[in-house]
Amino acid sequence: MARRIVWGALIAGILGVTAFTLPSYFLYILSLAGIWAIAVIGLDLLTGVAGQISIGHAGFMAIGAYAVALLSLHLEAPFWLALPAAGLLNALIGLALGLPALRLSGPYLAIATLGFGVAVVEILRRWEPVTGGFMGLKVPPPALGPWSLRSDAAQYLLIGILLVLLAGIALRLIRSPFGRAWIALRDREAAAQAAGISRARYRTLAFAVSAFYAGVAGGLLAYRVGRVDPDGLTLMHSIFLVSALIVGGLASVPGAILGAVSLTVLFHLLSGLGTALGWRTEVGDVRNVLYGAALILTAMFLPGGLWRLPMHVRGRRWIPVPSRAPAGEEGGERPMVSVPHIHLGNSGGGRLEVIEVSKRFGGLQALDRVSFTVEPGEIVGLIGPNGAGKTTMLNLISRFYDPDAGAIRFEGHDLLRRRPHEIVRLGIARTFQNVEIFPALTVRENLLVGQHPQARVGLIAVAAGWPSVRREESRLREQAEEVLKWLELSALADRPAGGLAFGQRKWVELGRALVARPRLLLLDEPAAGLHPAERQALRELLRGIREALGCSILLIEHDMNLVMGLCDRIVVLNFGRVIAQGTPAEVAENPLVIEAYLGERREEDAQPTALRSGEGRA
Amino acid sequence: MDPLIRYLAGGLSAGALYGLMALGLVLIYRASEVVNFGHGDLAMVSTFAAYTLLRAHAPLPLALGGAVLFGAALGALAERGLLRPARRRRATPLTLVVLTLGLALVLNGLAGLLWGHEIRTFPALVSGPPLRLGPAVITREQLFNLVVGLLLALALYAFLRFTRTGLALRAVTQNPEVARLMGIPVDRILILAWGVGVGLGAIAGILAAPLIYLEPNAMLPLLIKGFAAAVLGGMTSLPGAVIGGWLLGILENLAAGYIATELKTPLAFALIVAVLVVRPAGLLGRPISHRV
Repeated sequence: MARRIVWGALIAGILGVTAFTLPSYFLYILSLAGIWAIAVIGLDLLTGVAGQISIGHAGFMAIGAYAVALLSLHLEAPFWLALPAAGLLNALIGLALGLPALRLSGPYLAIATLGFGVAVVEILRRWEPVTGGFMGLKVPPPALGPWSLRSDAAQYLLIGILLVLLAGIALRLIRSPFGRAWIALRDREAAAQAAGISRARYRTLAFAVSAFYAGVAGGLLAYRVGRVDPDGLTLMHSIFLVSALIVGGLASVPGAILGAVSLTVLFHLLSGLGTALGWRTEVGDVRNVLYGAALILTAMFLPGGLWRLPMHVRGRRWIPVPSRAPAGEEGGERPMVSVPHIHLGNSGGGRLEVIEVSKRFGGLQALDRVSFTVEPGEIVGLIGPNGAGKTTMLNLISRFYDPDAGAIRFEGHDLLRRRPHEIVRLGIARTFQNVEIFPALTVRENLLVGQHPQARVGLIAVAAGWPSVRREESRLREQAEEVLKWLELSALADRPAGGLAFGQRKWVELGRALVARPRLLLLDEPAAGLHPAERQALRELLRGIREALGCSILLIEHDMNLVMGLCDRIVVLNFGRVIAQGTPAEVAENPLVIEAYLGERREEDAQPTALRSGEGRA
Repeated sequence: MDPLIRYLAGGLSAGALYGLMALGLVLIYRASEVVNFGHGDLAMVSTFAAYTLLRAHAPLPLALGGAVLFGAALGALAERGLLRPARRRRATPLTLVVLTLGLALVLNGLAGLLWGHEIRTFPALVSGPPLRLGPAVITREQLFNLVVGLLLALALYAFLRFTRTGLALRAVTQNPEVARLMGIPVDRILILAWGVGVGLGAIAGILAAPLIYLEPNAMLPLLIKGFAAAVLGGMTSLPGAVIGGWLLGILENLAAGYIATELKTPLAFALIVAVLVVRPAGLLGRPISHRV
């Protein structure tokens, strides 16, 4: 709180002092830079944070500008009403446009927004009775009650205050469940969905928020320039926004501001030079070449942008790249997990029923009438040679694939009627074969993503910084803290997950599944890539999980020691068919299994462990 | 003559150009997974090259051929000099798209500096009285564009279907990693795809130029419509791109004829959104979901 007051006072001081000391021309240029910065921050939320590009944001700015112009001309709306109205109008358009385009994501949003920006310009040109056609409209200066904010200093202050406000909101959003959801979807779409994040909902939301920023920026531009016309905000300007964002640095609010300010200042220096040299249209052309070149050069050689230049200089990457820790570190750091003292609460285990499920990929019958169950609290191993269809089965349960036939039920719910992000809400969490953690988030944030369905905060509440949001956040953090302690990850909690050693990443992924308080845990080869000590710890941990949470576990694993020692029952798949199921002992005796899976010779160590775990079941 | 037939003829002819634009975009997208936003400006620069050659009294075939080759070379250069190094630096898909935007901006500015902003007329490539084909009257220019568009689409089809290089290109569009393992020179194939793709765009630009005025932003409507045609066709389907082009051409001529001319560009945008809502996979495409 105190820090916030200090910052606020500092910024207010700087704004106030500069407003009354700088020459008008500087104030004008800084005002324009501030306006562009607001638009670029908005674009950053969409592109840098949520990972989707728009090439039509100038179109949103244009709509904002015309909305403000029309509202002030016809309704004499004051700026504090016209600007939010312009933003909200854009957010609505953003929802309408974003939903179809973002549902598919990929290149479609870029193409649709490109068409959008160009169509907006065309409509503004032609809809003369309303927009004034090519001539555009004059915009009266903003007024606060009786005072007109006509002067450069007044507009500078207005824009400065709004920039600080909107930058603060963007920062809050990024640090909230919304920002984490956006980043999670950006970096690991499947894992984000499995954690309960709806792709369509969050991407569309990012687009709407982003359009809101562009609308406010467009409205401010209309006030600042004093008029609007259809050729003031075109495709070129949309690309400038992208340039400023890339030059400043993706996924960083200060970076967005830096990019917008540096390009705006560059352009005005260029204009000055052009005037001296007697240029006319050349100013615009040279600007295009420079902005384009700056875009290409930063994208190529400085992917973190100017803002992260200091980090580049020190030889660090801006987004931590996954790297393996030194060999010695991996095993030693992983102590045995012993008695789980955990207050997540024993939520019990759920019953999974897989009934006659078939799945075909082209000519390959990946699964052929597979049926099995996982009873409440049971640990079931799903084993079989590579290509037997194990991961396909998991992906069907997670709803990443649709089966061709059959039914999958969990506690009476028909899973086939659910979408991937709804599965975790029913109590099913999972890990992935390729360890899908969110590399740009810290370990703690990875776990917080896992708690996504439990986070009860609204967008407006986050933006306004209501105390309820902080309470909710600390509640989630407390729960995450427990799991961090349990998995001995506390020391790493604030490290970016992308920089962890392989084994640690697997633990993070498991932690992310656990914080969701699952009643069924789907694990895809949890032991793969771990060395013996870690495997031992894993076995203890999985036992502990069942004990503490009471949840059922469906486990795909090639490590026979682990499977035989841990599982209550085993389902054996081969070429998409269930060839055997039963207790470890029964399965180990089954000649079909021995032939198909274990090979001709029986594994010596399989038998005793299997028997031991069979006893442990009761 | 019945205006409907006139609109259809005009639509097919304009649509052939949209189809050419879309073919290039789809070819590049399928080969390199990059949506080329520099396509319009590459076509624009190539058309200016043809214009300059014609102004220098070069013979027509030489001027047009030279300009198309120039465009193809620029496309190949964009892949070799811009995208390949970026891929080597492990650029994200987003960065690759952003690079094509930068390219568009640089080309646009350079064209402004080199050729200025005054609008120029591009000489008609064919002239003569309109032709009567049964109930329809079609200008020679329309027929020419239609035939060129069709022939190029067929030529591309034959190239992909019947040549070893074409087979290699199709393999790369299916699975670049496996193609590389099979000994296909993926890097060279990508350069080829960009060269051919931008070459097709250059032809579309040159054919469109006599119908519009030439200036640095002249090809923007063509780009949007190329994208609309590509999305309509499914974004990954070459026949879809051609058919999408025709459909878009006919639709916009009907809209312009019966409602208002101003609708042309907004219509292309509306069509993109409509396709995404109603049938995301387009007419002939397969749905794609994990690319940027």
